[in-house]
Amino acid sequence: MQATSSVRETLITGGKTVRDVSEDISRHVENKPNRLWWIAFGFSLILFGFGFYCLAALLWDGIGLWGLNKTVGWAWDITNFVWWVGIGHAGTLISAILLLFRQKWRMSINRAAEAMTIFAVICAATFPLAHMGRLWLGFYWALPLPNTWGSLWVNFNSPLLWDVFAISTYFTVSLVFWYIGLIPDFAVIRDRATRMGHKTRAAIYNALSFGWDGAAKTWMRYESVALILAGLSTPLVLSVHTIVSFDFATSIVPGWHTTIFPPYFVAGAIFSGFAMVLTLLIVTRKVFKLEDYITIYHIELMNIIIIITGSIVGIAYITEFFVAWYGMVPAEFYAFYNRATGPYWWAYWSMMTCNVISPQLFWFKKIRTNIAATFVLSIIVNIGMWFERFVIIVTSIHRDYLPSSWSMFYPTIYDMGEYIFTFGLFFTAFFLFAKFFPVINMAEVKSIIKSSSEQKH
Amino acid sequence: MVIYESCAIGSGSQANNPLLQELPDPITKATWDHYVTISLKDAEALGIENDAEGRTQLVTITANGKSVSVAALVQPGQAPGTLGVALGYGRTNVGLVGKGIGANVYPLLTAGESLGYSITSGVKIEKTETAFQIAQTQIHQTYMGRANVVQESILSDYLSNPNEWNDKAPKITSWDKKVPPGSLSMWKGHEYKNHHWGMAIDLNTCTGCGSCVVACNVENNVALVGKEEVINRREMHWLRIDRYYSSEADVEDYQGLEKASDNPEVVFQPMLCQHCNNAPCETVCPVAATTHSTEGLNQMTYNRCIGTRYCANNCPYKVRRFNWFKYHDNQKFLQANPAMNTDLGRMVLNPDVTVRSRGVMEKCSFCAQRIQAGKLNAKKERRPVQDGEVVTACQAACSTGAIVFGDMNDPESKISKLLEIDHYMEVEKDGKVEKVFNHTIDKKIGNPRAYRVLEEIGVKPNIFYLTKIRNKDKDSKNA
Amino acid sequence: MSSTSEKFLVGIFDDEDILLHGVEGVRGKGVKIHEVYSPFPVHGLDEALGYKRTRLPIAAFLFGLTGTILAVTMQFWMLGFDWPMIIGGKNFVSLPPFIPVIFELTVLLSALGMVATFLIVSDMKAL
Repeated sequence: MQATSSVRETLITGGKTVRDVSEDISRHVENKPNRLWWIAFGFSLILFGFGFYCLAALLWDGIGLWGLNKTVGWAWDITNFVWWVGIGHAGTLISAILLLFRQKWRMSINRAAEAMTIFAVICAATFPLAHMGRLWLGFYWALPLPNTWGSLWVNFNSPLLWDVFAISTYFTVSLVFWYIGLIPDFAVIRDRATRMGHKTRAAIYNALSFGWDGAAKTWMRYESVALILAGLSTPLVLSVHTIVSFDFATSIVPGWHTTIFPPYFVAGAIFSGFAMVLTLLIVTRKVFKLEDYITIYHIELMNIIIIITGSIVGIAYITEFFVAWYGMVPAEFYAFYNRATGPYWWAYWSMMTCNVISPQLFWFKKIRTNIAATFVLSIIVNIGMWFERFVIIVTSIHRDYLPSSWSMFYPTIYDMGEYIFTFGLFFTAFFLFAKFFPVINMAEVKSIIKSSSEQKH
Repeated sequence: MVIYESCAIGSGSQANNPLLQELPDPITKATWDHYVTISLKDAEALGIENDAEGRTQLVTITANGKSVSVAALVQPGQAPGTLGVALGYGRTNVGLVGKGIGANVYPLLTAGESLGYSITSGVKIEKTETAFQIAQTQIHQTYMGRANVVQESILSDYLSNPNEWNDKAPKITSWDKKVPPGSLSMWKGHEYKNHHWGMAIDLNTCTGCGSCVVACNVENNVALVGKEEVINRREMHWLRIDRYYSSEADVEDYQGLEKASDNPEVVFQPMLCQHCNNAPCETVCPVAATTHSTEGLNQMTYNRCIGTRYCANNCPYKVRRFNWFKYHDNQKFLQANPAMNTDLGRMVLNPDVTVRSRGVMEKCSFCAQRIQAGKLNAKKERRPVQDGEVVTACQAACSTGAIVFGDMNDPESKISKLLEIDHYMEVEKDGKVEKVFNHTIDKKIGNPRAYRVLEEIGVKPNIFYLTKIRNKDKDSKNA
Repeated sequence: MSSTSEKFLVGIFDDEDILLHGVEGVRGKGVKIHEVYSPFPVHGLDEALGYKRTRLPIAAFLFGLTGTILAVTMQFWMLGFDWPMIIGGKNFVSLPPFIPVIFELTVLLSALGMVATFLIVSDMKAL
């Protein structure tokens, strides 16, 4: 009966059976968390708390606590926003685009990657909210709601408004997609809890699973829903970073006003997102002993995507420079010249080193199948991608058209505190997810266990 | 060493006036600070490092047996071997505002010497290791050879070809020929049927004194922010005067262009909201807090603003100012801004203009309240608004008449005549060419000196500058 | 259930291929299958059971279309008719800047509407 392909590499190792899958993955939800989890969770809470203090101070005193000025109106805030949104993209890409391409290797990683998407988008959303001068009004004034001014509506010409729609749609659809995937797995935990006699847990997970029964007709509809959601998410995820890049591309600031931005931003988003998935999964598989499900083969495939997207990003950097030179617009050319040689040259060259040069190491099979090397490089890539956004945003506006207004940006403790806040938020949420939710999509993994598992003979 | 009266606070009688303390010096652009100007050569000899952002060291100056300690500021164009230091600082019996700023240099003068005179002998200067940062509102010296920002010419060139700059201006390629960038548009644009407010600023007559800046501050309740915030580059001035030194470097030598030449020429450029007809700031506001009026004004609706600062980022002229803190009703800004932070002070605020709160963007309104008042007066008397009836605060304060404001739709207005606007355009109608009044945003400007800053980006400002023309004929005869 | 004349047969399978063959075999003999429960989707089971294709894609399309129409009318009405404002010298309304919001609302309504439909037709509720 067992059909193992000699062409495809094994996705699940260790000779797992369907029962093993339920056991290995539900165990973390059912057992008390281990010490390592508590330490990590506690550390995240400390970051969260410190960041929360900085955020509260910012709301109390004003945006002046950040290092922004009359010339540099955005710096760390929007850098972090774009960085987090970019990270989020990998989750949707893995679950949606790879589903459409029928890539079975996604199944072990899509749940965690989608969770990462949700949390990253939440973190991202805190920045456009916090950066507003009047958050208490802005959070609903940016929506087309009827108001006391009669017919005062929002400005649909503004890329920021497009962002409001893009980010909220992306968040909602990703959340729904992720939750739909969780429903059958919640049902598994519910059924196990019923069998073990945990009444409360059974009731909670029953509610979470909407009373899922696993009937054939439901499965049929379910698969159809998943496929259509994937079909909707694919253009959606591409649109989100495209629209984020419109914030810059449709402006008139030299260095922002670049038509190459949409594809370049999307590639960069996937690049940083995959790096973040790797960082998280390398830790998760270790802490929860999931090495048989998230194998070296998975890591290698993700590293290959990092080489591809990293190279696209590298080509985009070079193209930008070429066009700035070829276009013969003095302000535009100066913006790029200033990036590489001006006061922020170090940020530019950090970006080049981390994003263009370091991923090329993955051409060597030894490096891309090495866990430690992958872990380090995945962090370096995300440092580079942070610098990319910083370089685009700050070096472009700090010296734009009128030299009289040129100035420098110096971050303050509150700039950093806001960034730390999102790290605290992200990891707190991720650890809670890893504890209470099944971190691997059991239903999907079970459906491939026969075709792609390493069998004991 | 020259001891002079400061341009803003004079002999010290105005040392307690925050408006003047925050008014940047015309040349050094320093506010709230006392400093001694020194040539680059002498500074290098003494080991003084004064970077672009005003970071420097204190120096001790000794003359006539007395010594004071002030910050050193390297001044391009200053003759080596000379020093310049302003009077009026370091007052001991002064109000809250002027307290603790600078040092008193009156003791350096001996009884026989009168103010503004120089001490020629026995002046010693010594560098100390104490670091100091001078709050300057402009930290870049030159205009980087950008002819689209400042247009300069010399008289002989101008006389031989008045259209020099029009010929040199960048062109873009249309289907069949090269055209000025502003002449192509993806949309038709709106028409201003009634008034079309505009301004012309003559770079020739502007002396850079800064009285327009002060007038604007007073008229529009512009918050004063103090030294710390100026160092943070957050001064709120709606109108500023950009001072550019000339540079000897080639236009492509970006490193060289950053440095002013040893003996630079200076150009002053008053810079305020350009009221662009195709304003980039308006497009990007998510809540439509900044929109255009039907009279050409770029309007800022403070009530609606949520403070994303996107408009300021997208403003090519960087004239938008954000309220980083609550500058009014905030004891932290009591010293810098007593007019908004004390009950008595609030009596001097202009009741026609809102005091902006924290978290909103603000900028030049073309004195919308004055325009409104002018229109209402005219309406009461059942007549059209006359030219000269609406005067902006900066225009009123300008002693040389460099700023002209008026209705560009009125053929008899001073601005129409100055810019030599052709008010009629030819329109083809039913096969016949007719001349109709031009209500569009594209006015035909006849004055060859008129230009708009950053013309080629197509934002179509309502402010025109008149090319600076220097008379160097005498120099050329000597050469 | 109250009827005693009907016979029920319950089968438990531990392999999806055997289940699939079993279903085909039983149905071939004319026995009506009440329901098949499984912990993961079994491919080909819906065809083996003779289920018709779900009409959820049609629901998704209709909800998406609603989103498109809503976004188009909302934007044109708000900026074109209710309160036209001069913004950046541009026309009061034009299609290109409206496309992002049209696209996002289409996707949002399509996804939410379809999932809601799925939950309702599958009789799934939290409590």
